[in-house]
Amino acid sequence: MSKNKGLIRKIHDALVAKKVSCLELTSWYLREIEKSDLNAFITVTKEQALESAKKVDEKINKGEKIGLLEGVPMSLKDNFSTKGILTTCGSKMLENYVPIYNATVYEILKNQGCVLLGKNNQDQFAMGSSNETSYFGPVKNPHDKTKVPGGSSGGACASVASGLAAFAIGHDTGGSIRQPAAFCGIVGLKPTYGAISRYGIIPLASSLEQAGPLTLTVEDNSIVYDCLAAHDPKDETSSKIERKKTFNSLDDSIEGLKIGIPTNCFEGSDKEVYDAVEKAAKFYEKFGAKITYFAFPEFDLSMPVYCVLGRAETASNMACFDGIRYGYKYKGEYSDVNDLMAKTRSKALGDEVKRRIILGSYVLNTGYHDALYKKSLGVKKLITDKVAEKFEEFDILITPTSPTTAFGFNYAGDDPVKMQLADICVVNANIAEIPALSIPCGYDSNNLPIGMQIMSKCWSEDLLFRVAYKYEKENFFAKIIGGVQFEI
Amino acid sequence: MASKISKDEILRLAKLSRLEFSEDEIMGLLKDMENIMKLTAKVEEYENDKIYNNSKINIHQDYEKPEYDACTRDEILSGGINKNGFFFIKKY
Repeated sequence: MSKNKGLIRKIHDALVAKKVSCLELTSWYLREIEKSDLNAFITVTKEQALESAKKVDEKINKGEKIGLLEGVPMSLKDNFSTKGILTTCGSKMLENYVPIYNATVYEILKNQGCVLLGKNNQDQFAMGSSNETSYFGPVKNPHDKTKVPGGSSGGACASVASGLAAFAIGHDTGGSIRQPAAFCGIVGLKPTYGAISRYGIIPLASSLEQAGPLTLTVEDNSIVYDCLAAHDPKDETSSKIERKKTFNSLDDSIEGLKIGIPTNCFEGSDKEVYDAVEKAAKFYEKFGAKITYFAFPEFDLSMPVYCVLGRAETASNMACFDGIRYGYKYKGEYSDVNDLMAKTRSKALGDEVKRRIILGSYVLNTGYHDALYKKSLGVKKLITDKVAEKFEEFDILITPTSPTTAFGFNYAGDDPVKMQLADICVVNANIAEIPALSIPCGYDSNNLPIGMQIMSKCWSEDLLFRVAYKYEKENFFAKIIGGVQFEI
Repeated sequence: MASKISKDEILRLAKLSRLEFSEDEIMGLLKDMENIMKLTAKVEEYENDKIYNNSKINIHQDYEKPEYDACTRDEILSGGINKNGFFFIKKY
């Protein structure tokens, strides 16, 4: 197999060849995290990281073989439970919360020998598209510090783009992996619903969310996906379908690809974004790809459906944060237990979280349940069916990841709808449960990265990676801004 | 149509959700809710026939109804709408 090496394989080769020790490498990353002013980390796990690195070095020095991910320094979004390590979910409510168990995703990576550098900043309880709702302050975009990194996995994306971690794990309910990946110029995958375990993730909307890798290159993303995608008996939503390995087929042919471009997903996009994504789609014509433009009105229903279902599930999932069992507890006077819960929740939850809980309670209320919640479930299934039909006609669908490049702080002002519309292109994949990958496809005139989103039918991540890999081989736009530099 | 929300409704929902809001926050919330409801109106306005005639399978949510038990094993395994009009999750 001939291909350019991604960052993970370069690190692996450097460790095996003893060009650098894992301890040195980890120390470089930790030093860069300390120097960084991006606010990409909430917790830095320095001692654990150095300890893990020493173990990898011992293994290498004994002449033992190490796995591809062994010794690779990485970070986790702060909504993955990590035993003995602070897990705040970007909130005041969980400011001092230390889980007593590991999320399966972290458990897998830990068993692979990855070095956890820390936990990344994120929008509070993953509610937001700009990382501005974090209790720990906003994250800055490494490409332009006056811009947001996107959200809610903004800290994870910023850390990969700025050389503060070799890869990171994010979480995507309505675009929270792909939109910040596009804003930070890196690769982000939202896998098929049920592909990667959700066990130990502090949930936002259980029927829509998935964990996924954030990396500099498509190859790296494929390596991490292959490692994480497996059935987990601890997660009822984890599918038993056998996952196809993707790394070994990266270089396989994509001749005769049928590409669909849903035109309504391009409406409202900035001209530079529109042109860059269309140009990127046309790149595939040289492999005999046939591009067809078509209107797909069902996608216009995805955002309204997401607003209803996402908020209904949020209201339900957030009910456990009451100050009684764990997390923040109101310290002042209160009349009874209900008053204590109300005061606790009102003090410790941010405005966006409260807004979503109220709307969620509303759509689940008697009288509105049928008109909104139940109907949204019906429309969700309709969209899923229509998308499945489209994939009988096309192999992949291409859209912009976001209609704009990274925007400035306070872009939406007091209008939550404006912020929500930043996810208009990405939310479709969550509603339809299909995999979707965002890769960088150029820069705008302000030198901000543009992301192209590629979607395919359920359980065809191998095709997604193959298609993206072909593009990346000839059009490599990712770059590390500062931090630990590797030639990629 | 469920898209108009009153201040009383917000107060009722706040109590239900165990949240407290100041007068200013309630006014802000009313405006936000109105904007979000404009977005969700597309779902409300969507014709039922279009959903149920086009959708092959759906998720059954109403566990309280006794008819839920009237599904056959095949229906549950394959997913779909049964004779009672209930929807089932297709298991992968």
